[in-house]
Amino acid sequence: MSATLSDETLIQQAQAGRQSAFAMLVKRYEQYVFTLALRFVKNREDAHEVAQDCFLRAFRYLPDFRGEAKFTTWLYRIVYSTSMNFLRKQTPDIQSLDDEARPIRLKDEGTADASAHLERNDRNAALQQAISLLSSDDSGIITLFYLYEQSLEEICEVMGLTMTNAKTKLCRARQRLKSVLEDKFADQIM
Amino acid sequence: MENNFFLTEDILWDYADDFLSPEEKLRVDVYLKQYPEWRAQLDAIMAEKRSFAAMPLEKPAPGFSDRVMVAWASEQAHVRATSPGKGKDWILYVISAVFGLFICSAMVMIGLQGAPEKMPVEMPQVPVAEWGKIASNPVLHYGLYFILTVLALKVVDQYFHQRQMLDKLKTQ
Repeated sequence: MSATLSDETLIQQAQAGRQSAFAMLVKRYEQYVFTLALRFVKNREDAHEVAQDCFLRAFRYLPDFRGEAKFTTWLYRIVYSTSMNFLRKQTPDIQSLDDEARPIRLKDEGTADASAHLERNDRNAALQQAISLLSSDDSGIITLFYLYEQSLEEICEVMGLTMTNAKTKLCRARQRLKSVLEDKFADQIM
Repeated sequence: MENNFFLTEDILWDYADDFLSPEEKLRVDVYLKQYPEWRAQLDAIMAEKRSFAAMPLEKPAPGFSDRVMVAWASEQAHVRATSPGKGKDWILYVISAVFGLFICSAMVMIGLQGAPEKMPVEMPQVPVAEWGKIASNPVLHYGLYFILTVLALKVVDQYFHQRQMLDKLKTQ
């Protein structure tokens, strides 16, 4: 039954205080919220804590949700801000996305785009691990754009960026991911 | 096509991600026709994009959603318990009011019982409270039983309410 109910219906029911609607929303989005939280905080245990906190915050503020943005965008914004707050408490200085200590290694013109030849499973495993090695912002933006298929405008809303900034960050994140894949997972690349 | 246009991998990614304007897109299309070797590069980028999108989602530990709902229920219970004028707090106010009224009426009755039947002319006698009489007063006894019963009912009600919520969460 839960699969047939739309997000809008569930949100309305949850806004009216129906517990089962809250539970269905958690079931529906737990993997999305957990995956994004994991991309940001890099640790499963912490990601559980952050994801739970995200849902509690979402429920607390659900009566104020007017549907001006997509529910997922609104939810991911909560995940982003909760994760950033968590990281700020953990480590006082977060590495900046534009950190000079993590240089971007541009593609070597002589190297073929080997990742295109990866076996599907190997590629997935390598990608998952490579993404986990990226910074929070890098892995977050890649997950939001490519996995959750959020538009650039929605990513700007989630992460509080300008369009130009978001495009630049996405481009750099992609380059860093490629660099990590080639450096650390070369053996899995044919 | 302009002679100074050179295709780079970044532009190709922007092309694949649909970030280019229609004019820029057209320029890339023309370039790809002219230099087919870049077409393979585009195909590789598209394959990479597909593999990004095909990445499986991470699964939280079993029972995660149940834990969220239990945390939410306990937060709601805490909010109800701490915010005045919400939930069943009116019961406490009623109990307090009844208790206060009972104490007042008991004091008045004791005062009336202790008062002299005939008022002396010279010096009025101040009624002295006899604690033994107060303790054995039936009004006090019944009142206490009443208050204890109401409190016990309140506790039982809370217990069943919590149990009902936990059962509901288990069945979801």
